[in-house]
Order: sequence, then structure tokens, then C-alpha cells
Amino acid sequence: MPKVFSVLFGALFAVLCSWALGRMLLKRARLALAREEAHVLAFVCGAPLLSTLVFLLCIVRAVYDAVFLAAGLLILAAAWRDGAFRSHAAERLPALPRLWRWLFPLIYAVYAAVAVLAAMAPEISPDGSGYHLGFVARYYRGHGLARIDTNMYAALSQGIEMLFLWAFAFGRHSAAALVHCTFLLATPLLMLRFGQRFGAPVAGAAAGLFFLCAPVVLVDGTSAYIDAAAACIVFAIVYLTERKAPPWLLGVMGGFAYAVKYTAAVALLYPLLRLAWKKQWRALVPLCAAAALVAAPWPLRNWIFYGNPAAPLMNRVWPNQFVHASFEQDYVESMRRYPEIESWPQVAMELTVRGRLLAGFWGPLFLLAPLGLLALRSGLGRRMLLAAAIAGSTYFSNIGARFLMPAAPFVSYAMALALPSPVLAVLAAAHAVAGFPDMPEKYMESPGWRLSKIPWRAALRLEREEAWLAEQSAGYRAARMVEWLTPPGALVFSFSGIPESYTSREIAVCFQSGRGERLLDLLQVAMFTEMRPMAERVFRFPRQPLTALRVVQTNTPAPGSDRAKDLWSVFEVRVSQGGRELARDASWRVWAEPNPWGAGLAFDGSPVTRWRSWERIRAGMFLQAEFGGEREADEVRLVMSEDQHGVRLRLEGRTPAGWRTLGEDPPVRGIAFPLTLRRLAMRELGRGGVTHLLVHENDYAWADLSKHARAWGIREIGAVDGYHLFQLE
Amino acid sequence: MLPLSAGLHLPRAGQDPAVKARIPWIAVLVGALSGCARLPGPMPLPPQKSDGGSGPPAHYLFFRDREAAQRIVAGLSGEIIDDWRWASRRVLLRLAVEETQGIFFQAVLTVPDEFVRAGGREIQVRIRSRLLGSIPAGKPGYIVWRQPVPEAWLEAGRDMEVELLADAEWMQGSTPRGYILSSAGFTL
Repeated sequence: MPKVFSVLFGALFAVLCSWALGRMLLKRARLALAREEAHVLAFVCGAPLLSTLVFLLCIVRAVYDAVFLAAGLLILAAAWRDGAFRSHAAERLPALPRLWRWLFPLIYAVYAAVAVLAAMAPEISPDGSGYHLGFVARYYRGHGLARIDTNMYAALSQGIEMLFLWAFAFGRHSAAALVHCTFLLATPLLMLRFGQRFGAPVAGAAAGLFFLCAPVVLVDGTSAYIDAAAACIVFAIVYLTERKAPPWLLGVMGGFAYAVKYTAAVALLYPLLRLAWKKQWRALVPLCAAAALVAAPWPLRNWIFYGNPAAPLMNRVWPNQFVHASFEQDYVESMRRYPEIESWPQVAMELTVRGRLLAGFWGPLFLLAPLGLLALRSGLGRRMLLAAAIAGSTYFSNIGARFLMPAAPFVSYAMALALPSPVLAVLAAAHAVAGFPDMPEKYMESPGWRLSKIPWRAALRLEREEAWLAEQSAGYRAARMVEWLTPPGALVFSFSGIPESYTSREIAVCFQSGRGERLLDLLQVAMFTEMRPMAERVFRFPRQPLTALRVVQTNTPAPGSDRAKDLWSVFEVRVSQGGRELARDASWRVWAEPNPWGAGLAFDGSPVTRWRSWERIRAGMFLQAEFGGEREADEVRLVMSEDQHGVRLRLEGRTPAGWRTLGEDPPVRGIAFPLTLRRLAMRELGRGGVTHLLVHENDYAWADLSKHARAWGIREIGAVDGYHLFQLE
Repeated sequence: MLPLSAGLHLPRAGQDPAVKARIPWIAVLVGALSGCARLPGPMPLPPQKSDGGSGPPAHYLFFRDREAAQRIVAGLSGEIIDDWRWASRRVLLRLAVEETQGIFFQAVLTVPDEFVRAGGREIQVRIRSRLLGSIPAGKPGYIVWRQPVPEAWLEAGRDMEVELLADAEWMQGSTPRGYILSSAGFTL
């Protein structure tokens, strides 16, 4: 039971501090607010301030329980002095009609109770227990921000994670999830108050319930995710815009939207368009300045840590080692096209009544979403549809169900405004029943990600946390195994993600970062025939003095063609004269474009390391060696793999007269590679900092690694739930 | 793609007073933007490794290479034609491996019509006198034959005899011929 108290304290302390900061902020905004809306808006508007404060504490490495406690008490004391605890609002919002006066609170209260219990249960969501809280736990252990080059998600903005960290310090995982849950519960309240404020109280109440009772919202909002918070912030921006809040406040919230989730930053367009429509050009300056100020910590951190302010995106604009452009290209494409999804009508059905393929669903009610267009008849409806279009404009970059959450409050509003009032109560009640945990199973074949039951015993810690987690979370016991069987500081290379927040060891999942991809490449070179160093291209040319050589890739395959996704790679570049290889000496300099950092791998003598373009092939890529003086040469051998059929090469040499072509695209021929490739790969993995491998029996590498463990130079030290932990020898 | 001027009248570089007045700002902007992408210039060589070993490989032979002769005991022509040699009825190679686990034996060969007409049907592969398997050679054509080698048959660091025994032979003039062998040996 004491755990329940620490969970509640952590969450409430974060919510209270956020609210107190918000109260002080709104006072300075001189915004006349009714009592019903003042407190919800205070919590939401205080979040950017608390988040920024935690970020600053992270920067100065002051993440300690005592510091948070002291800072929180100071905030509360300052708020007390500022009169935040006194109610100044005399204005009351128009009351709801009688039916809604009990219907909304009833459904809201039931769902709120379910949500709080679900959030209080030990965290089992994939992303929440994986990276959201994985990073939070790491910052907490390290007392501040850390450069995490093994997980690209570490470069996403972490505005909400900063609030999680505040709560995590006292109540760990569940406290963080409860903070997110507070945003979830704040959103329907904001929607209700917005309706009351703008003359559509029934639509507001109905829209709030439409949003709250959607299965994907309930499960996401009760996990340590960020989507419900993003939805809440986006709605608050529209709310404050319509309430004619000062531009700097809109900027603060817009900047925070970016800090919460990159794609939520589009919400800033709403106040920008509204102000531009009214030709309030001067208002744009404080708005943009405040937004930049609140958002700035994240691109700045990314530029310092990862060399790319927009990391993990835009890696071709700001090339870096942290995330490869090729990965980004593949990832962006895969997020737009989920497996088995073939048409937009199928997307609509998955989003509403199936849910298996898009990781969650909104419920049958949202089949009526197109009717929301009828809301165009009213001014409020047009504004809601504009906001829905803005907030939903980024959905096409990732068509998962939860990525509609920022747009959903507005879509709900449009539906509620378009449909006749008497129907709304029936629809809201039916939607609430249909979305309640364990109900979708009764009318759907295999509903996707959702809250399937109310984990009240686990929430109240009447069940042992470890036992419940072991039962509910696929990789929990693997994470604990890693914790027990590896020493502090271990780097565990894994082929799939596990709940990293339950181990203090660093997990490098093979596809989650440039570093992970480079480590994986070592294993794949040893594992797959077409990736091995078994193809040679030999350029022969008249003997001549050269100061530098470069191999240029000359082909740009047509987009969509078979070879469009080829990457160029070279294991070794060997320069010879008269059949004898030129000795590489200290005066040599090597370079490449793209991926200049990896150029040395083509000149290190190892058959498992290779320079890779890490970007789909295009004409003009090159790999270059400068000799520090003139060298006589008549032959260049490139050791390559066969997984790059689209590559066309030209050899150029630099003479005192400049660069000249020495040869074009020689034929490919086979060569032998060492039989110790597996062991060499593992040795390089060790040089890359890896100490252990975590492999699941479903991973493609399992068969080779387990069957040839001795040849790889690894030893199994533990196994649980199909996961096997190997130590590098 | 539009040409640089895009049909506009552009002043020559540096001659427009408006441009001149803004040169410091432009320099700051260019500096800031180029500072954002932190790309390294040419770099020194990394430490050199000798993981690939030195000298010709002892576990897999490409018969286009003259050095392969060091490991051919019998049955292969000394003449290299393009990237292959003629194999006779019995080819004997002396190979060595550095690793014994997860190893395959591989032979890349071409069966000519004449071999089939001479009654050729298969080529047995023996490693240290143990039969690994038979390469089906009853049809003319190009063959890449791979077979896993039991770990116990191999011994790291010691030369081993590998025998390719065909069941037929034919005469080209006065020279006995079998099939065309491009490469053979141990691989992964």
C-alpha cells in the first residue's frame, strides 16, 4: 500500500506544481476566466513552465528528489503568495441542460475512475515502459540529461517526459503515467468548458465524452505516452486563441506543443492564421518569440548532442552519425504504409471498428465522422474543422490510430455540432458502453491495442508488482534478467525492444539508432552471404604518380525501381603498383561523402568493417584517399559485398593537373573471405562497446547465433521467456 | 529545375549596393548555417588490423589465381582459361580452415555435354576420405553446390585433403577431361 501513496504523491505533486505555475501565469495574462475553466487551464498552461524548469535542472545535473521537493515547495509558496489558491473568478459559465448535468458527470466519473486505476497499475505499455520512461529513468539515475546514442527516440522533444521525471522521482513509473492521465482527463473538461463558453454546451459535453470514451484514447492516455498530453495542449491552444489570450501565452503553448511532440507544433498555425486573418501582424512577434523560447531547448540539445537540431528527422539536411539518412527514408515510408493496409477505406474501417492493423481504434461512433462536415454551417463548426484540419495534417506521416489524437477533439466537436442535440446523449452513452474495457471483445473479432480490463488489484498493489508485470509485459523478465546478470555499465545489443525502464543497463536495439545499425551490420556481414566481403572490383590503369584517389558512385536509380534502396559500401580499398600494395602511412587522409565518419572503415584492414553510404545511392557519392604526397599506382582493388547491384563506379585520380578519370565500372568477381568472420564481427562489436547480446527465439539471428555460439565467440549466461542473454568472450 | 537566374535580372556578384550592405549579415547567416551541419574533413587512417590474414587463402580456391596451384595436389589443369581450369576424373586439393563450426563446402563448376555423354552422373566430394555428398552432374550446366560440413570432420590449422571424384571422363584429343571447375573450398 505505501507504493500507492508514493505513486499518488508523485503524480499529484507534479500536477499541483503545474497548476500553481499556471495560476501565476494566467494571472499575468490578465485573462478573464470563469471558475470552471480557470483551474483546468491553469494546469495545462503551467505544464510548459514546470517542464522547462525540469529541463533546466537536468542541464545543471540537479535531478534529485530533494531538489524537486524543494523546488516544488517554493513554487507552491510563491503561488500562495501570489494568491493562486484564492478564487478570483466571479463569472460562471452557462449551465448544462438537465440531462447533460448528470449524464456528463456520470460517464466522466466512471471513465475517470477507470483511467486513474489503469494509470496507477504498473506500466506495461510498449513505448511507455520502453523508451519514454526508459529515458526518464536514465535521467533520474544520472541526475540530468544524457546523450543517448543508442536510441533515436532520445532525440525527440521530451516536454512531457520532463513532467514524468518530476513525478517519477517520487512515485516511479505509475506516477508518470498518472501525470499523462491528468492530461487525458483535462481534455474533455476543456472541451466541455469551451462549449459552455461559446454557446454550445451540449456539443461540448458530447464531444468531450466522444473523445474520452474512445478505446485508443483510454489506453494511450493511461499509459506513460504523450499523445493525450499533445491533444490537450493543442486543444488548449485553440481554446486560448478563441478566448483572445495574449499572443505571448499562445506562443508559450505553441512552443510547448513542439516540446511535447514534433507533429503537435502544427497547432501553432491556428493562432497564426487567426491573427493573420484579423491582420494583427504585430501580435505575431511576441507569439513567435515565446514559441521559439519554449521550444528552443530541444533543437539546441539535439544540435549539441546529435549534430542535428531536428533529430531524428532531416538527417540529409544535417548529416550525423546518430541516425542514418537511409534509416529515416525507410522509417518514414513504413510509418505511412502499415503492413496489410492497402486502401483508405480500409484505414477508416481499421480506425473505427477493427483496430488490429493500426494499433488501436476509435470505436464505431467515429464512422459518423464525415457528418462532421455539416458543422461548416456554423462559425464555431468552421473553426473546429479548421483546427481539425491543422491538427490532423500530420496524420499522413504516421497512420497509426493514436496519431489522430490531437485532431480528435475537434473532429468530435464537429460531429457533435453537426448532429441533432437529442441524438447526442444516446450516441455518447452508446459510445461509452461500447468503449468500456472488455466490451469491444463482444462485438469485434480481434480488437487491437486497448484497455481490456480494469487492473484495480494491480493498481492498488494488492497483487505483487513483479508478478503482475511478468504476466502482462512480454519483455519484463528479460529486462530483469539483464539487470541481474550483467555488470553496471554493460551495453546489451538486442534485436528487439524490451521494457528498458526496468533495467539500468543500456540496451542498444539494432534498428533504433545509427550506432545500432552499424553494430548490426557487423553481425549481418558475418551472417548473410550477400553482405559478406566476397566481391572484388579491380581498376587497372597506366602507372602514374597520384596525390589522391577517389571512387565515385555514378548511378541514381529511378525512384521505386528495384535498386532504388541500395546502399553503397566498401570493405577495403587497396592501392597497388606493380602488383604490390602501397603501404598506408600516417600521411594518408581519408574522406567520404556521405558518411565521412565511416571512411576509415574502408582503410582499416578488417574484412568485417565497411564504409557504407547509409543513404540510398545517388550519383556523386564518393570515397577518397589522399596520400600526403605523390605515389606511383597502377591498380585499385575494392573489396565489396553483393548487396549493391545498383552501384556504378568510376575511379578518379588526382594529379598536379587536377582530377582525371582512371577507369569506369570494372566487372565484379568473387573472392574468398575469412572463415573466422563471425568471431571477427563479434570482436568488432566488443570494440564498439557491446558486452552482451540479448536474442529472442523469434529473432532472425537466433538460429545462427545459438547454433554457432563458439564460432561467434559468445557464451549463453541466461534465458527467460524465449529471451537468451549471451556474453561476449 | 529552374536556371539560377530564373529569368530575373540579377546583378553581378558583389556589385549590388544592397547586397554589399548586407554582406556582414549574409556572412553571419552562412556561417551559422554551415555551422549547423558538423561534417568532418579528411581524417587520418584508423589503426590497421590484420584480421583478414596475409597471403592467399588456404580454405577456398579460385582457380583463376596462379597461387591456387600451391594447394592443388592433382587433377586440375595448369592452364587457366578465363577464370577456370579443366578438372579430370579425380581432383585432389589440400585445404586448411581456421574455424570448424558452421562451415560449408562449396564448389562452383560447369558440366559440359561431353561429360554427360561419357556417362557422367555425379561427382563425389570426400573430405579427409569421408564422403560429404555427391554433386549431381547428369545434366550439362552451371552448378553451385553447397553442403554443410560436420564440425568433427574438420581440424583448425591443419591441412586436409579434399577429393572430388567424378564418375566419368572424356578425351579432348589425347587429354583426359572431366568438367570445368571455377572455385572450390570451405566457406560460411
